[in-house]
Amino acid sequence: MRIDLSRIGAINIDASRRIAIVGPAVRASALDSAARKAGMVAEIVTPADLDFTFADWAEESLRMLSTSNSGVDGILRNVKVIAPAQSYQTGYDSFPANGGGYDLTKLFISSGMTLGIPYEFTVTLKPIPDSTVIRTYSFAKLDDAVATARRISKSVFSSHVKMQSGGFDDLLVGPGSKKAIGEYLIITKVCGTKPVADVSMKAIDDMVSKASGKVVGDRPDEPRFIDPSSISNGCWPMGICVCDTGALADVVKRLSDLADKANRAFQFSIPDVTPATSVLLPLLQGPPSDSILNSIGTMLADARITLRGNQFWNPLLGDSRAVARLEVIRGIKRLIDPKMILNPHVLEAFQ
Amino acid sequence: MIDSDIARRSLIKAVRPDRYTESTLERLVTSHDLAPMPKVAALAFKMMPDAVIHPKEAEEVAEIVGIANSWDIPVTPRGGGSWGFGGAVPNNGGVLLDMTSMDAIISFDSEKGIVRVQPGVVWLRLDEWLKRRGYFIPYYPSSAPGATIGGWISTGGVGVGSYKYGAARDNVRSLQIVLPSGRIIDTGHISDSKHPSQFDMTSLFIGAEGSLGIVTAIDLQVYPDPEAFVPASYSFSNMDVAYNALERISEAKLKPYHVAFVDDNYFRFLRAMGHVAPEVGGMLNLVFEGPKATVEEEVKFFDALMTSIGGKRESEEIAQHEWKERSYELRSKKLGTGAVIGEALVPIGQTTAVARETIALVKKMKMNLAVNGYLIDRGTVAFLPFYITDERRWIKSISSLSFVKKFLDISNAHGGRGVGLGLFMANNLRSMRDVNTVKLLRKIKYNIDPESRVNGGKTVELATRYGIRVGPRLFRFAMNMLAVLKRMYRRDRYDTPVPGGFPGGEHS
Repeated sequence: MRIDLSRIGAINIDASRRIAIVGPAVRASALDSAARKAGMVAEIVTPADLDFTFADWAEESLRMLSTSNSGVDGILRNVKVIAPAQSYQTGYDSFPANGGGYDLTKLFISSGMTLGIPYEFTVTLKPIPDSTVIRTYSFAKLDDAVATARRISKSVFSSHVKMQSGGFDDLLVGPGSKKAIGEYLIITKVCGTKPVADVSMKAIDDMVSKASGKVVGDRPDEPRFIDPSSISNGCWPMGICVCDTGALADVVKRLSDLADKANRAFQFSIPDVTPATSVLLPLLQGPPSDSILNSIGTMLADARITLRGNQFWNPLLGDSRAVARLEVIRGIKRLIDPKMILNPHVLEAFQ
Repeated sequence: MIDSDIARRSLIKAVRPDRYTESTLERLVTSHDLAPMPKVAALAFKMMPDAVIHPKEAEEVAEIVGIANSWDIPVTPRGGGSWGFGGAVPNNGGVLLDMTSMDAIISFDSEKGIVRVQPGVVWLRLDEWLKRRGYFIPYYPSSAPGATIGGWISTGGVGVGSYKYGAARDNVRSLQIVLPSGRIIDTGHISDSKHPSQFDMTSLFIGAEGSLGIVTAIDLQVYPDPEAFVPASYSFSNMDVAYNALERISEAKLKPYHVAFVDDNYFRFLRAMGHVAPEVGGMLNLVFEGPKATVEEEVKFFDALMTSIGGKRESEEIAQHEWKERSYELRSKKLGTGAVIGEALVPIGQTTAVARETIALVKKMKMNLAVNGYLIDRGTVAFLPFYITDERRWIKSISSLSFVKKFLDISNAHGGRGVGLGLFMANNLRSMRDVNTVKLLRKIKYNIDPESRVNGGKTVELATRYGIRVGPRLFRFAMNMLAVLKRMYRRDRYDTPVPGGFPGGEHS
């Protein structure tokens, strides 16, 4: 049985508690619009500016939600879920989940809807800043771009740093091309009062110029959302990878070489650069052949990069600690869903 | 004592003879935490461990837990013991694991800003260690000079710096845990990722108060040492104005690094001890950190905001002093022999109401207390009233304990939540979470620890030394009786100056 969550689309903004309670069918754009009407914004970053629903995110373990400092924990307070025969609240609406008892939020949202079906999400809001500057920089070399993006993310000047190859948008929603990647873009966002935003942006400008980057221009502070249905049929997302930031350049080069060998265009986006790990969205002109799929899988598993789904867990099963961890997860799964009826395909690696 | 000689020998073998002790002194020291518990509590709880063990490695902890499983010995992990809810206190004797002996800083990756530590590392020591390398740890408990990283993580971890950098759970990238089965796991897939792995269990163990397993290593996100660090103190005519100022700060477009408050009684207690303290109606202590240029702008912004709503900026000397005192908010406990803290997270819009009702409760219970606290995020205040106790007057001391329960009831009625459950507040879980979720939490505990051997009878349930579970009704009845008893005493007197300073007890 497939459960269609697309009708649970209510948005309830509680400005006094600075939270929004939304249904799984709510898109990022709808939340943004409702929050702005109340003078608030949600600190949600949409990867590749794609306008997914909360249900989409939950299915992807919400890895695509993030903020500058505190990741998904910083914005997602509580999820109400329906598991077989019971409903649960993973945390609290108003507080960080340290009020008492075990915090289940991260566990449930990272289960890919295997532990429960979310029907309500509570996310935090913040006041709309006086000034927001979104500036794009261009780099000729991948290594320079990655190192600079990492430096900016460590500097705390910017509230968000993302990076992508020059032709990413073109391959994602346009015809794409087999041209090699010509430039690497860093897009940074700073916000606050105007003097603070100006000072921060100047500091970032200095970092970029020292690394041979150049300013492309500023984007207006208007949220940009791409309808997922407009994604080009010609492109194939290789998955959502969580990758060591220090290894990003190498991983991108290896993926690019794979695509070259197969004579396919390759682009990528890193929607959230952090000093330690980053989320990588590699995009291939598709569809991929079996040999490409196998090569990608092996490469990512070798690098211990996590990817959507569980197909790359198997290499970890030789690790006794990973096995013990899986057993705890299995135990919790059996507690909540003894007949294993929720999203059973996610559990293939558990069999 | 450990009944079986074989069990004792096995435990000694798991570590080394000098790291296993049954000495009365050590067992006594580890039989309570920050809150002074009256001896009468021993009727219900065997708080004195049978043995204290000082492990050094995760493998040793795993072996100890395995032996405890074989011999049915309860295991209680303990950090710095700087909390006050009995989370690190045995409820049925057994083995106490003193985790402060696991105090190694294992590794530091400066590129990633990730430091891996053992749980017994004390926060202040880690901060000093990082500062020497150009980094700092911006989030820590106010008890940083004595609190351990593992201990604070296990309590959920909100404190200094949470306003800007989030709680501990936002900055812990992975945990190594010894499960009650004795097996070792890592909670995250990629140990240093802020993005959750599939079935990420890191948050499950943070705040579990050691009841799901024993933390043996922690990966923490740390940050480059800021260029500028500026504390600024603002005094107010009364606490109502100060609480209003807190709300205005939470609505501001900029965020200070830390926002703390203290009330007039806080200073009154200090004066009673012979300290020099400002005579003000209340004080907000803001701290700014970051690049020099942005800090300068932030200070200007909040200066204007605070003065526009009745705040007076105090001298730099006072601001620096208040910042240094952040870890010694219970300095005045020496007026008695100890202090008991209530700790609740309160919606920011309800702070004044909670404060007023707490003051009314205090009057009714003939108590005298001070309040401090801080902003956790834009919507939440950590509200921490504390009162002075004198265990030598044990009936009066125990009767005062009912304040904490009643204070948490007030905060709950205003949409707040107590912080921490431990042994003494475990029954509050039902007022914090819905029935189904409470049942699930208990099932998770019993699934991971079927015999409830590791820090059992706490956090998600309250069990006595006899294995009898105490429900909230009985607990509430007992607390109400204690409150009635407290009202039969004269009003507490810890606030008037005593010639010669430290009086060492309540003065008449």
